[in-house]
Amino acid sequence: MADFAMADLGYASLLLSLFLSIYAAGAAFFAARRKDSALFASARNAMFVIAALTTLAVGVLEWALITHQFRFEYVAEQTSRAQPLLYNVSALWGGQEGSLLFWAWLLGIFTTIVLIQNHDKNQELIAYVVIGQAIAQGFFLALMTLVTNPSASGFFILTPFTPDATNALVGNPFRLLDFVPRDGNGLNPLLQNPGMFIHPVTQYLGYVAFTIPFAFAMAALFARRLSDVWIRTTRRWTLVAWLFLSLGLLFGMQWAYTELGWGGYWGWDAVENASLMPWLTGTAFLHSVMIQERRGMLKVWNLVLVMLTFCLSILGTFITRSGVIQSVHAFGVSSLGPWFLAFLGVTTLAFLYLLFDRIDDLKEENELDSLLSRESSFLLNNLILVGAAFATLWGTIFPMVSEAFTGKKVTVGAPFFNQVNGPIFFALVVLVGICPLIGWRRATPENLLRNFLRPLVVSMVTAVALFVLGVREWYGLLSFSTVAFVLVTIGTEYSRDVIARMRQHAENPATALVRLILGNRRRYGGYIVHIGVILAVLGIAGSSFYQVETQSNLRPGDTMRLKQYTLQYDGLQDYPTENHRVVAARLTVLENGQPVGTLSPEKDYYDNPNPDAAQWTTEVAVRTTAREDLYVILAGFDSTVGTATIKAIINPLVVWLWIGFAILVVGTLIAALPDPREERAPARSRVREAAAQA
Amino acid sequence: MITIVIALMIVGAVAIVAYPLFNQSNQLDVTFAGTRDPVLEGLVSQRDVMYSAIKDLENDHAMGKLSDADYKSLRAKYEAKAVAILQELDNAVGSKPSARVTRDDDAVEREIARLRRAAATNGSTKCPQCGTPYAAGDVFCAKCGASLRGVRCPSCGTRAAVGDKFCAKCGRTL
Repeated sequence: MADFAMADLGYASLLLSLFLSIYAAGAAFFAARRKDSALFASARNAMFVIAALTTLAVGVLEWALITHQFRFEYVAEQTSRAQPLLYNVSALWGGQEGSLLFWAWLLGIFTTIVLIQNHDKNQELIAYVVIGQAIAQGFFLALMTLVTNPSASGFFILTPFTPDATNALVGNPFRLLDFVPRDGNGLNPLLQNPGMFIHPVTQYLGYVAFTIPFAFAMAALFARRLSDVWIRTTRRWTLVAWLFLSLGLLFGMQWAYTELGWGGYWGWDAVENASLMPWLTGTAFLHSVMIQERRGMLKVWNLVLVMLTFCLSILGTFITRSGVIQSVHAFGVSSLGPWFLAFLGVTTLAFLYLLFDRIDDLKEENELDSLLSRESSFLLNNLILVGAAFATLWGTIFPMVSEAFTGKKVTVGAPFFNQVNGPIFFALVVLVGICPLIGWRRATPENLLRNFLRPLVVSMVTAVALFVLGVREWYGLLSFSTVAFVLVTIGTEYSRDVIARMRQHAENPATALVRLILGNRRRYGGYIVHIGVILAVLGIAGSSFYQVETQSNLRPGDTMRLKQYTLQYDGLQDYPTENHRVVAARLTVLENGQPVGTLSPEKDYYDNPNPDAAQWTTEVAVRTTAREDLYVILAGFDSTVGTATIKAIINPLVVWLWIGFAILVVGTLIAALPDPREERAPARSRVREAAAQA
Repeated sequence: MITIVIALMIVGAVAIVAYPLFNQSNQLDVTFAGTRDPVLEGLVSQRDVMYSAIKDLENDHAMGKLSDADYKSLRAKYEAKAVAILQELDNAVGSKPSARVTRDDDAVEREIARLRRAAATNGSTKCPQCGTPYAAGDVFCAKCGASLRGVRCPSCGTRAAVGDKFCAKCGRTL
């Protein structure tokens, strides 16, 4: 009877959390209005209790998943006895109901951290932040505890107190079946990959973390505290959220590359786009706030950007969950879609209302001194990134819009996105190179040209050298020489500053470099991130423009050639593992005639009690070097005669995409390190003294 | 059995949430009394913005991104604004003794040193050796190469302003 009891416990903790979140929102509102600390403390405690209760609910679900409680409908769908433990644990976020719970849990934890961080400051802002977090929390909890399947109850919301109500609730992770199945369905084999453990987690961490800056923005608007306090308080949260979105993108691409077996890492799939869009606006936001902090400009831009990032995060969650757009990620059509859209709509309207009402408090403190200045290049940066986000959004929702209006299903594929976003991203890369050369406030054109010259010369030399080496395509020459340009720009910034520091402090280069970076972590960490981005661009350019492939049907002993590689087919292997059957093709790889290794691309068969659910998956084999990836797929086989159809692809420079992202992560961590100056004591008396003497 | 657990859970949650409402004497560490005045917050923000602006100007000029003429005119503009904000801030701070003003100590130190030097040389900053005016933040005179920074006090190590006869910190003769 443990399963009935635990299901009740899980559901009860969620329902209790829902009531608490409604209370917390109300209490925090009145606490802020009346400046009532007791009421605020009560609201704050409510948020802590919600965090504890959602943790309990997560504990219950994980217990059920790990101990194979198949009476839980969710457990029966997502796991099976033979499934490795790792995938039973990760099933928490594998299905719809579980991922709602995961979101609510993360939100509770983050709110707790924010409350602890701000226990002695920002009191009035924090009260409003609690309202925002409580409402978001309440939304996800309501989806799990109140929303019913219309076909079961006849209407959308059912009170939870009618008989068997909990099992008609669409979002309830604790729904029970009438019987106990002997075994579960198991996770979709496509998802049985280590990527399953890390990609959704980092993606969700990114989505949920962006609620914090947004909540602070809403609070700042509500409380009319529109100096940059809200930005400075959430600076690290923004960096951390952006870091997780970047990791989500990275692991998603990695997973697609190794799992889907088509040789690529990005297909402009609807759900891929859903994770890219908030990353684009988030990037714009974290750059644009620097302008507000330094010059008191772009205030409205920053508020709009953080709202866009939050809305696109919710939209991303919605697109992944609702199946409304055809996608490899589709989890099936869900009736929760309209609720997400409603939440999004209400939030956006509320935000825009507040923005227009408080517009007078958002006066710029400075104006643009010149069109040729770092401020204007940041403005251009905003425009480019938001432009790319909108182009991606349009391409993503167009099929839905078109079907709604014309009844015809159309698909918008990679060519549209590549044609529109390609030039936009190219402009962005050029901007990354030029911006550091431009001074704040005003750049003297002669000085700019002088600083421009060296990187320009290097990029021309690169182009000529590549041409001589055989690269003839204009897009290849353009991309690689632009990459060289940006690398030289960043390198020059670093070397010039290191040399200046070495002269001033008589340090050796290594010490000077380390002290330089630590002295201004934001700036130099940021430059490292840019280096990472450019290397990733290098990888993308190489693998997009210069991919080659071939396919052959081979008998044992046959060989196939692709450029300098020869693949010798030795035969098929067929063996069972823990929960699937493996058919592998053994290949010996020769480069220019010399043996360099072996590769074993596979086709795996996952059996299932439900015959319709049994399926074959493809496991590719990859040989990676700094120059290129040799990517081999077992496209088909005939075990009676031992033949295999092998597809081989060469992806140049792909490894630089992964290396670039790794460097991006390092740079972000450096930029997020605390600045020693921020911890200093107040200087009130000194300010007075200075003013008195002036 | 599980009903009891759930009932206890509800009771516990309500108790934790209601506790602060009844225990008014123990204010925990949350109080709205110390909330910063938004006007003061805005001024501190603007002050920090000005300091960053001036620091960036210096950096850009040193790196050769800004010409001398542009640098001088922009710097004069921002210094004037900075002094105005400092005075406004002083008025605001003076009337609110509980307010706290934080951040960017180095910029404050530099500003104090510069204002001291200006006061010492009757309002303008000139090289002590050849008399050529120099900009704040310059370490050597562009005309004659003399050091524009004062010596370090041999006792306590504090750097004095150029022309000082006694250490401002420990009083030792320089």
